Amino acid sequence: MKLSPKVGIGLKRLGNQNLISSDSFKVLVDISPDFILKNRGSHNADLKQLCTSKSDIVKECFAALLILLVESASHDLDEKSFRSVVESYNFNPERLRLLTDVYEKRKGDLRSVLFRLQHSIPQIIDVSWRLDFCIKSSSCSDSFPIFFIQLVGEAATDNTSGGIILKKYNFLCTLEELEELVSALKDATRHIEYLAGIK
Amino acid sequence: MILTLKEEHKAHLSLLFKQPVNVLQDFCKLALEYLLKGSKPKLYSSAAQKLEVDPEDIENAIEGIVFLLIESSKNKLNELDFRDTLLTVGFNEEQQAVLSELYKSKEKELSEVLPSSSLHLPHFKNLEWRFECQVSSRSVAKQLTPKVTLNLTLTGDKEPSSILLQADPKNLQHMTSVLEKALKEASSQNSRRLQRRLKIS
Repeated sequence: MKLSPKVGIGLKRLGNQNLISSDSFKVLVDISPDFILKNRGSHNADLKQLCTSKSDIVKECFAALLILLVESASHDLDEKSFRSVVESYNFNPERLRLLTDVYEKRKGDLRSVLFRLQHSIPQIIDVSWRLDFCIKSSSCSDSFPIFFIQLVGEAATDNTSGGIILKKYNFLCTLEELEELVSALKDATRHIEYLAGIK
Repeated sequence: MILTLKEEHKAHLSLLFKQPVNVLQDFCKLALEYLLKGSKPKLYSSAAQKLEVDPEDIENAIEGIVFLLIESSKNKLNELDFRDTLLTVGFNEEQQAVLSELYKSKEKELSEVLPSSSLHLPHFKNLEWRFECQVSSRSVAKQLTPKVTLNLTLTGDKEPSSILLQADPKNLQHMTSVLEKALKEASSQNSRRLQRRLKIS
């Protein structure tokens, strides 16, 4: 994992006790995961308070910290490798421990947010069906069963807010068509189960 | 059962009453074309010149034949009923033989096509799938995410449309089992009994 020199400077300043006091450091580290997870509402006040003096440096350090966390989670660094990355930026043992603890504790959450960022194709999350029996219609006097299928997909919104929208896909199947659909799906499922060693 | 045609429909067909058998056969060919590919105004105008009538009359006559076929198929006329219907409308024996031949050859196709043309809602057509593993992305550099990409083709009003979807293995399993259940339900005792009762012969 490589961080840019600018981020490196930010992190070095974050570790510098003369620039960032221990209390400020603790607050910054505590609120950073929530910031990435978009629960920032409750922490805006904390951040404003920290920015009263040397606000440019605080902001720089905070940005570097966020990048560090995101990049580490993205590369799935374990505790040991995370520590060795942070160590190279001159953190004292106390700060190192604090930062590593927070990373270790929130890594799962961070990764799950990162995973959600990449929905390019709608993901199927549910399916529902209904069976109707058509008795007569304007174009045909035959009676036949007909299935209404609805797939529910989850997709990212077009704007960059990172929101999720549900999309619904409706279509009809005759009995033969549904048989065809199910057999294709079974085929795929079987293949995956075979690969996973379940069957 | 004999079909009773509307006066307007009869008027459209009346052009054909006077035509010899070989001309009627040409009309049958045009009607078939109409069924498969839709209206072909160019062909009609050349036919109109030969017969010295309006192109519109030719089109009406062809649509008349098509409508007659569809209505007959809808009402499940057998050959005798169809013959009687033609004779009542005003066709002679020879003409009736030609049209009956056409009906006989296309009846099966029509009865297959008609149910699907009711209410133009998208129908399932095909499903292609691909199993893949996502190993890296901009936001998550190191990962191993199995997923299945599905290309669902639906036939709608006009062109077939395709929908691209993805599912993780768990959701795919879920989807498969839910739809399998739906399929089982169709052949369950309860629904078979209901289907028998609802069938109108």
